[in-house]
Amino acid sequence: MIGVITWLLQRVSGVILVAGLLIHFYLMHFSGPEQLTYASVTNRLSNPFWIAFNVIFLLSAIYHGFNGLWGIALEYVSSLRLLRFFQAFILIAASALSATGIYILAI
Amino acid sequence: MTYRWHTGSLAWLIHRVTGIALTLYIFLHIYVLSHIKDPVQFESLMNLFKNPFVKVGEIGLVGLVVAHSLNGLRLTFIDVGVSTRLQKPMFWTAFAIGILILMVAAWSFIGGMH
Repeated sequence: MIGVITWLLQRVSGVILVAGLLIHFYLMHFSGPEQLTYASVTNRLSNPFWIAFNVIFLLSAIYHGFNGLWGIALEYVSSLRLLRFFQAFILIAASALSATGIYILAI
Repeated sequence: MTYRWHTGSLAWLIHRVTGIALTLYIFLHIYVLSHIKDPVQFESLMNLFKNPFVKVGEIGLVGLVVAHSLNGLRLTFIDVGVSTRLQKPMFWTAFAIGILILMVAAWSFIGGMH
């Protein structure tokens, strides 16, 4: 059951990332240099829509990336101790990156 | 015994390598973004993007993203029921679209836009 959920979340987060990247790429590179000034970036980050967009984008990227790494670890690492160590590393790194990212967005 | 490379196994390897690289890039990205709290730091970061080496790196990053995204879409199509007989044509279609996107991105980063 867990496997089905993580498989589905990997697909869902992947589709969110593709949609988010299209918006990100358009905003950063095709909508004019005035979108990239300090004032316009901080202005966007005071808008609830953009905060929500960035938080969802951030968490999707972190979930997708680290769940992917975990899948690779499960395939290659046979030692249970090493696997537990890797799992702890993934959980700590994903939590720290999520917290840092949300902290940056919330300010 | 030698391992025969097929479109599917090549796509699998590309997906794996680009996926690991992109996950490691999250660390760099969040580290960089944590240093733009005021306008002065922000401007110095923006000036960094004028550096030609950073530009090449940016285009390389787009390459990783495009390869991983398009192949990910191909896998998702197969997962939701598109016939596996189409996996090869889908790979080469994704390849062509990817090259096109990469060319537009390179043009936009180097000269066209900013």
